[in-house]
Amino acid sequence: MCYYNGVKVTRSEYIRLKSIEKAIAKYDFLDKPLHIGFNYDNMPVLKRIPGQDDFELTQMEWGFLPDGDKWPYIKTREQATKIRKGYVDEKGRYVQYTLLNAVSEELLLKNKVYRDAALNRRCLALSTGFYEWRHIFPPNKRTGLPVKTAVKYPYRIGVKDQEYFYIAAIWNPWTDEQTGEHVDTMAYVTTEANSLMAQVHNSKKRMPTILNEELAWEWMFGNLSEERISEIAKTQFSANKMEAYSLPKDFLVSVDPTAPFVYPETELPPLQLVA
Amino acid sequence: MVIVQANETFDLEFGNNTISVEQIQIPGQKFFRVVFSNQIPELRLLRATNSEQKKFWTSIPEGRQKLAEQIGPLIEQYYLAKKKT
Repeated sequence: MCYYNGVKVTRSEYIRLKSIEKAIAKYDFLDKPLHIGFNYDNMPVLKRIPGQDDFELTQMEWGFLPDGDKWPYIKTREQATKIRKGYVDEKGRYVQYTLLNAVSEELLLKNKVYRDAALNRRCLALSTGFYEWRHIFPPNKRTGLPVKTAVKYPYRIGVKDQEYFYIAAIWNPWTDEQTGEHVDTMAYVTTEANSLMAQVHNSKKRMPTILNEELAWEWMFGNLSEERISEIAKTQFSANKMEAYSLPKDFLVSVDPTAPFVYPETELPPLQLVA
Repeated sequence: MVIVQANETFDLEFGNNTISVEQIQIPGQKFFRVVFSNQIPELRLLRATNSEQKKFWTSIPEGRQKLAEQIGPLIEQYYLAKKKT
């Protein structure tokens, strides 16, 4: 028998509690209720321990940074910030690479920045739910024609009866050539929207590649052919296993950003749910 | 996709203060993070099982058992009330 906080517990419970202690101590992302892509936050990620069928829960910077000698040649943190925010180059062109999401259909193309990571460094991002905006074009009061600028309604999307789920991701270790700062960076893999997500994310019709436990295992540990990597990356999670509900437009600053908000049907038509 | 990962957050009355409680999920385990409106350092707590297989509230890391035993039941009450509504 052991004691935890003065209470007699079994050895296995003691080990469990100590393991949780260690896990909690490692993550500053736990202090944030929401992670916003364009903030390039640290995200919870399951990463394979090299050579083992085992993984660690770690955190990685959201926003893939390739090796400095590969396009778009990001060698320093200063360059990373500049290219993520966007800038006008010497020829007057606007240049921006966020590298937040990796398009599954292009993942393994020979010239793609994600190819090496997709072949050698696949990981799983943990999520309790993600957010997208549905674009609605109400009729113009004067002309009766749809307005040109969409009214955007936020939605929270999750997997039914699962408190968290896996999203396919790829990662790359990156080092600032000037300061020596080292970070693991990652991008989510995205796929074509299913029937639910096509209604919610109706501007781009894309969704994260959500994987069930079997595919998640295969994605992280499998010795996969290019064909199989591509196949899993394009997995379209079933719409009838997902749920989505609308949120208030100011949910980002609300106390509980997950609290639903119902709009009048005349303003926001209900989603056509799959049986 | 722009934002990922949100945890349920709610406020509770604790003595004369309001505490903010956040439910956090890590693989295989749910725990709660409590932020106080005064100077008390934040508390992380969860349900554990004692050697007699009875559930009890405890702090993570060790050292704040009494506070965990005071706040844990308030969290339980919150979820019970939520279930009824």
